[in-house]
Amino acid sequence: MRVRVDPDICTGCELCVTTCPEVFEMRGDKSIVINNPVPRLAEENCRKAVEECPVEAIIIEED
Amino acid sequence: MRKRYPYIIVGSGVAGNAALEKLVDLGEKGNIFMISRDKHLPYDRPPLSKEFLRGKRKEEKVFYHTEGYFKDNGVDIALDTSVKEIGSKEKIVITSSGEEIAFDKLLMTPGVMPLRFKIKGTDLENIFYLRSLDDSKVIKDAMGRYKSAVIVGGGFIGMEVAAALVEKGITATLLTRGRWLWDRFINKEIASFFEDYYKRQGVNFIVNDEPVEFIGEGSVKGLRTKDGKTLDCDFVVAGIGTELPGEIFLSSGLAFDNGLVVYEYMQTNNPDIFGAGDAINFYDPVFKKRRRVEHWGHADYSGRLAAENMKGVKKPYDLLTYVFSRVFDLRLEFAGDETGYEEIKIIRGGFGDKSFTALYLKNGLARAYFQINGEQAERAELERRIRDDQAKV
Repeated sequence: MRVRVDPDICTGCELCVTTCPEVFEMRGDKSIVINNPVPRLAEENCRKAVEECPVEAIIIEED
Repeated sequence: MRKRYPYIIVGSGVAGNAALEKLVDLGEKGNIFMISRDKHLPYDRPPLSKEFLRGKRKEEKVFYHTEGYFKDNGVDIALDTSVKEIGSKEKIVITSSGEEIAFDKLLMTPGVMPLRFKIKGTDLENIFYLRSLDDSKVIKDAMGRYKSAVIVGGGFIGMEVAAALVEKGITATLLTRGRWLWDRFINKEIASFFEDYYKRQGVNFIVNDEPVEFIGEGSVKGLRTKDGKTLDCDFVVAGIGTELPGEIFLSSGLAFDNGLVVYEYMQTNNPDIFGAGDAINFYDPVFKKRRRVEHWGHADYSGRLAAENMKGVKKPYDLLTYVFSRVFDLRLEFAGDETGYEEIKIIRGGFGDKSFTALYLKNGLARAYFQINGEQAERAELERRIRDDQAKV
């Protein structure tokens, strides 16, 4: 699984960083992906982060 | 026949990669050629002085994309290649390998180069500068072999590298010619918070002083300072500022004045040539003046914006410039324009809590904030305040 955050959509709410710190990190006022492909053990949390994102800024590039 | 691409991006740093991603997202598969001096595929820069150096992020995790991304999206990339000449009228670039390639739209993201010492002994080994992944690997390697270092320069690079070194158990002395740490960013009071914090973590500080000579035979063994101090060390890491790559623009007829001059849509004085990143001199509509900003946020933003505008979108620059860092357990967020403030007010928290926010004011109007271990909601509110206040200027 590979994910990406669209910085033009991300509002920097930090929800994904809280839900899945293995994959997301704040970079200034945006979230970025620091772990691609997503580690197997983090996949569940990562999917949760994708679902929770209030503006749907996280894109699953490869499942 | 010379090859022609609808889009050529020169530079594979943060701005170049951001533009590449945006063009791909906008459907320009198969239409992009990227030229990079670097030997590696595009990678992210902030980890090079932080997580990567500290061994917290593996090398493969600093790359933006795998090779597959380039293949799947039909992006051609020439690594270890620079642009020797830009034919602005002919709309061609000539590369270091002598190839002439034509473009419809060109984006220049050359970045800046680390300023190098111009004092005695600078050709000794183990004096390091940090710009690229390979630079970071060399420093990381030195961290595994040696015990003591002097970091010259009290900017972000110096502060981040110092933090990484002491974490690895290396004796680190930070030498800055500034009156105090980050003297361009913060006042003495806030600087003393950081100095105390760093000292508690084991970093030695020398302010208001600078090296005048490196000592050693073959490799550096220490340095002498202007104040007459002698500091012994096994290696030196320098973050003493940057310089602009100018020559290429001067011969190409592109306007160059403290950077590649771009207008609101990131276009240069040639409407088919755009600029983004550290090396551009752009108009900041928030502070109503021309600026040059060497931070990740601006590089990423201006790269994406240039890509959209190359496609004809006509979207003007509108970012409240910001910089962030993480050292030890402190998360730093700074936004706005640090120059020309009259007063810095602590508006939240305190030094003892390791969590506070400082507001920069001029004539009572907010122009920047510096937040340590704070929340996004506060930053959003402060951004609104700065924009509102600056609209009144």
